[in-house]
Amino acid sequence: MNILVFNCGSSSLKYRLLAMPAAVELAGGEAQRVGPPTTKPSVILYKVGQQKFTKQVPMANHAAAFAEVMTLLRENAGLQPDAVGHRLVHGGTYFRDPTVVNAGVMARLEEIRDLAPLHNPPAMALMYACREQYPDLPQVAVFDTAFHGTIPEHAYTYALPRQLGRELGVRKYGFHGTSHQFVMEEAAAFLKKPITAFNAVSCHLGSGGASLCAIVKGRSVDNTMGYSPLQGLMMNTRCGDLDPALAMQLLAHAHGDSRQVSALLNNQSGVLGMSGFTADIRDVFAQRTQTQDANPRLHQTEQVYTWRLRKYLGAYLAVVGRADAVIFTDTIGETVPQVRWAMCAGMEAFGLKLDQARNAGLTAYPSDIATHDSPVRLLVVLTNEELAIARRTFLRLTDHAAPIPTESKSSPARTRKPSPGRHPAKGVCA
Amino acid sequence: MNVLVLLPSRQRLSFCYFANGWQQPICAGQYDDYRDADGSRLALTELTRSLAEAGRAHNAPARPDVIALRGISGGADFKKPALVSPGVLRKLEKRVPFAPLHIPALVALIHAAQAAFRGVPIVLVFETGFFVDLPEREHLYAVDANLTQTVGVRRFGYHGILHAAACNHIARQRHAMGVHSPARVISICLEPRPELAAVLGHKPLMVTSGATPLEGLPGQTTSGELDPSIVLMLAQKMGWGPEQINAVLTQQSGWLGLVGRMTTLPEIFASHRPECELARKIIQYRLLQACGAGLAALSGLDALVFSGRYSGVGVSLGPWLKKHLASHRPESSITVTLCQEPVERVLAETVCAAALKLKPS
Repeated sequence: MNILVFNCGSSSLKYRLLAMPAAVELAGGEAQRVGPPTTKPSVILYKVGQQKFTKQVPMANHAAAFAEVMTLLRENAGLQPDAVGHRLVHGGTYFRDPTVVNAGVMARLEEIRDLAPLHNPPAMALMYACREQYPDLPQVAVFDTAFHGTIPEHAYTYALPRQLGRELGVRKYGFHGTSHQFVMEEAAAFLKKPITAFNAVSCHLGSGGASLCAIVKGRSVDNTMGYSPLQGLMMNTRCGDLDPALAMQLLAHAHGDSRQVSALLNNQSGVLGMSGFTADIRDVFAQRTQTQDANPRLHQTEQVYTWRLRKYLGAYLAVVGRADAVIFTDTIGETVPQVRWAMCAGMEAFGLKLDQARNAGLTAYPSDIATHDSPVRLLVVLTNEELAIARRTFLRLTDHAAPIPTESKSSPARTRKPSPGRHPAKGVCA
Repeated sequence: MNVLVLLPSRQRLSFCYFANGWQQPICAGQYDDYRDADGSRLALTELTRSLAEAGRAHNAPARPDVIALRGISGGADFKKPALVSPGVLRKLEKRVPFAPLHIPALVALIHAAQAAFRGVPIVLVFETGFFVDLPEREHLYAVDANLTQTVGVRRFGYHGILHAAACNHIARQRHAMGVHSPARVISICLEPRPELAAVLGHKPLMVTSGATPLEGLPGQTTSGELDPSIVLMLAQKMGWGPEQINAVLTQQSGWLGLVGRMTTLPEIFASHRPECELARKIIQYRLLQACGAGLAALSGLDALVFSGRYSGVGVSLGPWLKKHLASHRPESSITVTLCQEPVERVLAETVCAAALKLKPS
C-alpha cells in the first residue's frame, strides 16, 4: 500500500510517499510559500530517486498545493497513492486513535479548530481539498495529542475550579505525541524489549519546540507541554513555564490585549528572548565555546535551558519509577552532546551513567551512549514523524477488527466520545 | 529572652508572646484590618493591653525584650534577619513598587510597634531571605526582561523561615551521628500554600514557588503552576481582566477548586470521597515530580523533611515519596523527618539567635 503522508505547516506542505509496510520512500518533497504571494515565488522542492528538483508554481492555498503534489507524483514518477495520512496537531477531547476521515469527522474537527489555530486549519483545508478532488482515496487523520490520551486524570488536571475545567476544556493535552511514540517504539525494538513492558523518558528536543514525555508500559503518562504547546521547557521563542502572576501582569501592561501577550510569550521569549541574538540554542553553545564569550546573557541562556531540562528529566524519572531508557531525539537531542551531558551528568541516583566518549563521538543512529554498567540505557534515536504517520495509517486501514466507516454525519467510529458536559475548548493561543 | 512575634498576612495580623522561659506562649491572638496606620495603631494598642493582662496572669513582664516581625517578600536586599533602623526603613521604601500592598502595611506596623513598645528592638525576618542566593539558572525566567518589563523579577521561595529551621534540624541530626558533609535535603513545607525546596546543606538550589507565591504547588485556594496560555485564554474567551483572573486563580482554585469547598491537607488525605481522592492524587503527584526535580538538582538525596502546620501529613506522604524516589536504589538511606514546631516558635528562636549578633545598620 502506497501511503502519501502530509505534514502541514501554516505556509508549507511537506509530503512523503511511502510503500507500506516495507517503509520504502518512493517520493518526497516540500511545497514552500503556500498562500498569498510573498517576495519570492511559491516552489515545490522534490526528489525523484536521489535527484533533487525545484518546480516554481503559484499555490494560493493548501488545496492548490495538494493538486500540484498529486500532479508531480503522477507525471514525474507515474505514482499514485492508495491512501493519505494527515498530521493533525490537536484532536481535543474527541479524537485519540488514528481516524478515517468522513463528513462526521470533518464536522467534529471544525468544532475544535481553534484549539490549535496555527496548525489545525491548514491541515483541514488540505483534507477538504483531498476529499473533493479524490473522493475515493481513503484518508486517515493521525493526531499529535493521540499518544497522550493515556495521561491519567491526576496528571492532566489543573488545580482550577472544576466547573472551569469542564466548561472550557482546560486540561493538559500534551503534544509531539507522534514523535514520542515513534522513538519509544524504535528504542524498545533496539533494546529488544516488548513495548508493553517498556518504561522511558522521551526527550523530543527540536530546534523549535521541545517536550519531554514520561512513558510507562509503552503509554504516555505525562508530557511537559500542557493545554497549549507553550508550557514546560524553554524553547526557541517560547518561554515555557512562567508564574501565572507574571502572565497576568503582562496582560495588565498590555491593557488586556491577550494577543499581544501571546505573541510576546510565544514568539519573542525562550532562547531568543534571553540571549537577545538567536533563537537557536546551538548558536549559543557555539558562540560560547568559539569565542569564550563572556556575555552574561549567553551564559544565562545556556544555564536556564539545560537546567530546566535536567529538572524535568528528574521529575519524569521519579514518575516513571524504574526506567529502561532515556531517549533523545530531534535536532537538538540528536546533535548537541552538551545538552545530553548537562541532563545526565551526576544523575547516578536515577541509574543514569553517561559514557562521555560515546556521547561526544556519536556517529550512527540509534546509538546507546550509556556506560556498560548503567542501569538505565541512554539512547539517541532519529525521529521520523512521516514514517510514524504512515505506519498508523497503514495499521488503521488494514485493521479488520475495525471496519472503515462509510460516509455519514454520525459520530465517527473508534474515536473517544466526549463525556457529558465536557465540551471542547475553543480559542487557544497555541 | 521574652519575644513578641508578629505575623502580618494579607488578611490579618497574628501575634504570639513567648515569655517565662517559653513552655507555651502566654498570650496569642489576631486582628483583622490592621493594614494602614490607624489599623496598626489600634491593633498594637489592644495588643499592649493583652500583654499586660497576660503578664499579670502569668507573672511575666508586659514588655518584650525583642519583637520578631515576619515579612514575606523582601527581595534580594533582605537576606538575613535585620534589626529595624532608619536605614532598614529606607530600604523598605525602595521596595514598595515591587510589593505595593505588602511593604506599606509592614512599614505602618513597624511604626505602630515602635510607638507602642518604645525602645524595644524589632527584628525583621523575610521569608524570601533564605532564597536570596538561589542560583541564576534556577531563579531566571526565559523571557526578554526588557520587553516584558520584568527587569529584576525572579524566583524566590516564600517559606524560608521553616525551610531554614528544617535544614538546621537535619544538619544537627547528622552532626550527632558524626556526619559532617552537607546534607542533600528536600524540604517540604506543608502550609496552605505548600512549597518544596531542594537544599544542599543550607544553600537552596531549587524551589517550586516563583516570582510570586502563586507559581508551584496547588494551595488551599491557589492554582499553582498553569500553562500561561490558560491565563490568556480566560482573558480572551471569558472577557476577564487581570484582576478577575487573579481572583479566580488565587481565591477559588487549588484544593478549594478541586474539592468544591474549603478544606485542609489533613482532611484531603484522610477522606475517601472521590473529589478528595482526586485532589490527593494531584497533590501527591505534583510533590513527586517536584521531588524528582529536586533530586536532579541535588544529584542525590539524603533527607526528606516536612514542616508547616500540616506537616503531620508527612507521616504517610514521606514513606510514599521515598518509595517512589528510591526505585533504583531500594537500599537507599533517605531519612524522613517531621519538624512540627509552628512558625511563630521557629521565628522566636531564629530572632533570639540573631538578636545577640545584630547591630543597627
